Amino acid sequence: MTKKDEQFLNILASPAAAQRMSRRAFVSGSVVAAFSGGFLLAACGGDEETPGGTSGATSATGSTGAPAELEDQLNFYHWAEYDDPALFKRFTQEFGPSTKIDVYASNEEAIAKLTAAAGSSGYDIVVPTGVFIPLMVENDLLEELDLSKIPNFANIEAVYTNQPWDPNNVHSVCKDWGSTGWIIDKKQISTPITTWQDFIDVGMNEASGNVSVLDAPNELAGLYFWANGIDWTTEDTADYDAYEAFMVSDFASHIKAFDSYPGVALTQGNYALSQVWNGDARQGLNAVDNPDDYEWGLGAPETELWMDNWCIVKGATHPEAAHAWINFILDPDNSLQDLEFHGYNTGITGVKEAAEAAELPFLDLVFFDEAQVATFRAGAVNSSLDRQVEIYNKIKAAAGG
Amino acid sequence: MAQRVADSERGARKIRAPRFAMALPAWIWFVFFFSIPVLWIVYYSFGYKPNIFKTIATDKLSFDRYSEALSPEFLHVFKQTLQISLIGTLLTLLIGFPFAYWLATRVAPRWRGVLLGLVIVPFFVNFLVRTVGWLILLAPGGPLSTLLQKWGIRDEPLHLLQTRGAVQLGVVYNYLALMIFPLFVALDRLDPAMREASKDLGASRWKTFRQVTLPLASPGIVAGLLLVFIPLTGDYITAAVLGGAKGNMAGALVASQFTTAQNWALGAAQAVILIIMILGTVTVFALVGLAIRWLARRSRRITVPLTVEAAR
Repeated sequence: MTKKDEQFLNILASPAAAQRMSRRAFVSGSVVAAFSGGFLLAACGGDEETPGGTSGATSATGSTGAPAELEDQLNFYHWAEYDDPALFKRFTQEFGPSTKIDVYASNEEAIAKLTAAAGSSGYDIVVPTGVFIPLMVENDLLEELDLSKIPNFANIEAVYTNQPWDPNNVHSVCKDWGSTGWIIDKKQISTPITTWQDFIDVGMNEASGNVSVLDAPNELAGLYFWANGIDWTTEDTADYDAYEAFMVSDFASHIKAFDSYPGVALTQGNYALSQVWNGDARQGLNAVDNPDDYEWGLGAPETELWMDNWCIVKGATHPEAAHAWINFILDPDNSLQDLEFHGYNTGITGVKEAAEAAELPFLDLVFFDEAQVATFRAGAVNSSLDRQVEIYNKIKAAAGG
Repeated sequence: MAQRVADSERGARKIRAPRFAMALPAWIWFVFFFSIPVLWIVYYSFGYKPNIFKTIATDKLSFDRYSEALSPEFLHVFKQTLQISLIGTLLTLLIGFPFAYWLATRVAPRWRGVLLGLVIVPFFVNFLVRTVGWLILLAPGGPLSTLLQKWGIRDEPLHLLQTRGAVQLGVVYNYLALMIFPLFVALDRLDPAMREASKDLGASRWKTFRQVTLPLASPGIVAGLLLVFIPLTGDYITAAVLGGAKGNMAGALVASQFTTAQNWALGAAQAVILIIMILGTVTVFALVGLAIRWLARRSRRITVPLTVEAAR
């Protein structure tokens, strides 16, 4: 199934987020619209084999392919452009619940909003980055998962389960993982970029006023720390003072935009140089007519390692549908289709081979070799988090000058 | 008997309809949905953000958020906002006035409704969607840029998006109609006989415009200026969609404190500063306007006896 298929999705978004969300939707001519769930196919929900539905591990209530038992709705609090809209549509057709998506640009934003709502947010599924999960659990923002309702959990490669932030996958299962790098418009930039320091140098010279950075406090800090050989999990206030001084006084004025999805915007040619997540870069390369004009670079000498995870929000009113979705998306075929869309390694056993067999484009942006993975550094949620957000706001304000 | 019935009826009517009853729904609305929330915002602006999981705490009250909000980085955004909104308001007046004048005085009455309807048409589309439309139009790879390059007007793609210029353009577009309506109403009510009388008395076109049309249209101009300036200064959608890092506006700053940073205390302090900035600007301009009017009247008062003497 291709992305050219008609995609209808009900989207609630803040203006800033809607901008990101709707850019491609608008350009490709599809109008954001509602599709209400399962009106056609719900009645014959049994005819498509329910993924993993044959397992005897299902609970006594027998969630096996019985759409009638699921709630009629499923509300996501999600990152933008992060799953193939066709999959939401198929989920609705097969299982019944209609899906709604609200998006956030950073974990901090999601956490703060969920905390403010105190269990009444109305969201069922949230997709936090792994390192944020312990704090979220501590603050009672997440429900425990019932893995017996997610038989497809067994499809995830063992290395991506039982992570340090959530032993035994009590609250989360891996959605996908990836890293951060840059994408260059070679028509506008001739200087080669091989490290984050190059990124900063070019950003302040050749690409000045034409550079975008991720709209996320931690990755913005990472950009500076990786470039300067500082461990980006540092809690040293001196490191943060230096980061603040440099970014606010020296770098901010060169920034054109804080954009978490510059890849999606690649067709519009807004930036000469962008800090970008690998999957988003790949989405952009897939969308442009002339991918040879652009160059992806993985962050160096060090860069980020993140894993986003399916979690159920505390107080979710559609838990059965949420479990059904997680199980649905962990199905190898669905997972491959999703990977084709978002461009991140889903960690499903055999997904790499399947992607290669399907000859999907730009797989070097999805799967990394051992030498590359060795330079990846997981972030940390620690005492410097508030400072990160504070500095990020100052940089944003200073960038207007 | 009949007298008593009439009396009691009158009495009952008095009880049933106190004079302020008609305004009561609006009062309730304003008190509960305007005054109380605004006071709440003011209260929050003295609080602080205790940690990432809390948006606000008010156990310790201080002015610290105000000094934070007025730090050079943020102050700059306020200045820029004022600049964008003053220029934007002036531009809507300069663009809107000739149009409203033309519509009210030159267009046949049967077409006025249609043309006015056309001005309203964009309002049928959501504000955000209209603004996102510009995003596509102005993109370096978008239609406008492509056309300009094709016609040889520009050698390279248009880099208007994510600049202050894009925000300026966006706000003028988004608020122009709010200027045109009150101007049109004021100019439309103006009796053509007034202008004719002025002409008959020997005034030039320019003098008629300056001394007859403009003063009589001034309530419409003031209404238009307020209707545009106040929401424009607080606008954040246009800045968030078209502005990027450079075209930041105070409204977007406040919104990002409440939504992204979830620092309600700082956001509230910025909102209060924004309100004060708007009130202050309006007050300054009102005083300047009053002073100009006073001077104009005074100068006119002097000319009258002179002309009378000359006539003798």
